[in-house]
Amino acid sequence: MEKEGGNSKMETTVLNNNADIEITDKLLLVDDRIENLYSLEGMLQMDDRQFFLATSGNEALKIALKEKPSLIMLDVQMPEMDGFEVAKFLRSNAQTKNIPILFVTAINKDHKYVTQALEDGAVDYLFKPLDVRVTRAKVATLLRLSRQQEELERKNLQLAKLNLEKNHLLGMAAHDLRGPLGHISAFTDFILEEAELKKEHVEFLNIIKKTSKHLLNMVNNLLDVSKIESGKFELNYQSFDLVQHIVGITDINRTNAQAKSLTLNVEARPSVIFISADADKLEQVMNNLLSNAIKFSKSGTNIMVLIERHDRDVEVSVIDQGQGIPLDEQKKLFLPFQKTSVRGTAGEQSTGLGLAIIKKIIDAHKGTIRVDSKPGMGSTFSFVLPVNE
Amino acid sequence: MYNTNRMKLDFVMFVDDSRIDNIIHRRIVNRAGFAKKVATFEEPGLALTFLQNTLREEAQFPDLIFLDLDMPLMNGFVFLDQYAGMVGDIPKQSKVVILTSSDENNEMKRAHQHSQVQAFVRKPLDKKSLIRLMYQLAWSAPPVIQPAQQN
Repeated sequence: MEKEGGNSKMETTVLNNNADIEITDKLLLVDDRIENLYSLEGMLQMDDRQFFLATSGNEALKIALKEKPSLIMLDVQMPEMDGFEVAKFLRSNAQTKNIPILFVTAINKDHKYVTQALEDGAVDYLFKPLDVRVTRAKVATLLRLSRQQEELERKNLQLAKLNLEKNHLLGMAAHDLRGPLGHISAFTDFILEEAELKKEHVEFLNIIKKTSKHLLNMVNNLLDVSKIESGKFELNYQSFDLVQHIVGITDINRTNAQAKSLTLNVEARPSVIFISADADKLEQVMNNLLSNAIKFSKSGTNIMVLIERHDRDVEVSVIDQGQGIPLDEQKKLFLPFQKTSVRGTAGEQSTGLGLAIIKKIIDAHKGTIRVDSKPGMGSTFSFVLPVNE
Repeated sequence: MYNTNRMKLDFVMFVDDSRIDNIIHRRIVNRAGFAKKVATFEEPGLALTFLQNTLREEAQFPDLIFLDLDMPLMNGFVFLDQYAGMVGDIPKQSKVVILTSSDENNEMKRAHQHSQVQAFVRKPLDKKSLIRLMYQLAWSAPPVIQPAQQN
């Protein structure tokens, strides 16, 4: 029974403070006795409220699904379907599960019933005869909470949408920046390869080279973050020998290690370990861990890559004898935009995103990554991956 | 470690609408000693014509074609379709490597459906990615790349 006539018809609306959205609170009153409904409606009547009246559980459910009221006042004792059953159904439906329910009853003051009602999803309980002031106050409070919840949900949706747009924009911008930055970096290298350069100019070119590489790295990281956040991050599983893959990646990084007089070795037990994983993404992980180890190591020290098979897993550790990381900073290492107090030994820069990204890559492989580090003693970054043979 | 000299190719071709990328790629291949001869085509249509005309002279056919995907006149996928049309006659050792700034998985999957496509390299091509490509080609195929075979 949907009531639109008489004094329950809404003609006045309330304006939201910062938007021209008309807000009306919809109340669904449920009682098998119509006179109770009229009396309750009279008691709660206000300009910004719209009432829907139902004399049975079935009718209440239909109205609840159609109107999505802000509050349901539900009589417990009704023929056919009682208030508890109605509440259970409302809680089981995604569209109605968050609507607050206020039980109203003349009987069942018994504690057991009150408990059951609360367990079935009621937010509060009122006993007949109703105390007018208590009833009005409770209804007003619940409606206010309900409005705030709706507002929160609306804002969350809005935020999710904005975040999606932000990631899209970030992805596009990063992608378009990558090309020109790559060009700057490449041509700087070409000029540096030429003989007959003044010493000072070599130094300038090296600064351009370092800066553009850092920018490129940052842009690539931003692109990864945008992909991860917008759910475009997928793994391409393929079967390959992880040891051979890591040996190849380490060879490529050896030039940078040698430039700082670091030794870089790989040890694998056994010497062939086939796994199913995303080879490109694991290369990104290894490149990041190796470049960090190189970045934070003092010349003359060693970096060791240890690959060990344990039963169904493989563990890869990058062990350095570098500066180490203070304990309180270790916890934040894998969060985005966290930079440690530790500085690159040759003034290398960090984006603060690398470890957050590789953690996502390892997580996506259903693996784990951890750090074990002591200041002054060096750091060991280890990740464990399922072999998935 | 692989002997990268073993991987030196006779002839590498780039199909890419970006003149700047072509300058960079040509120089990187030359400096790395990756190939004896390099050709660059900014227009994919001209590259196809060249390939078509070269089919009869196997020794003159490129060992490796680096192909950009995002090109205005003819994108890389259309190029691959037309190239596949010549497949019966293409010298067996000739391979295609996709060289693109895109890292969309869908594009990678689509490109790999073409049997000539051997690898997917992200721009900018540099010495590191060339070394990696050498490894990759050595994994996926026996040494292709000796001077053209004479029967």
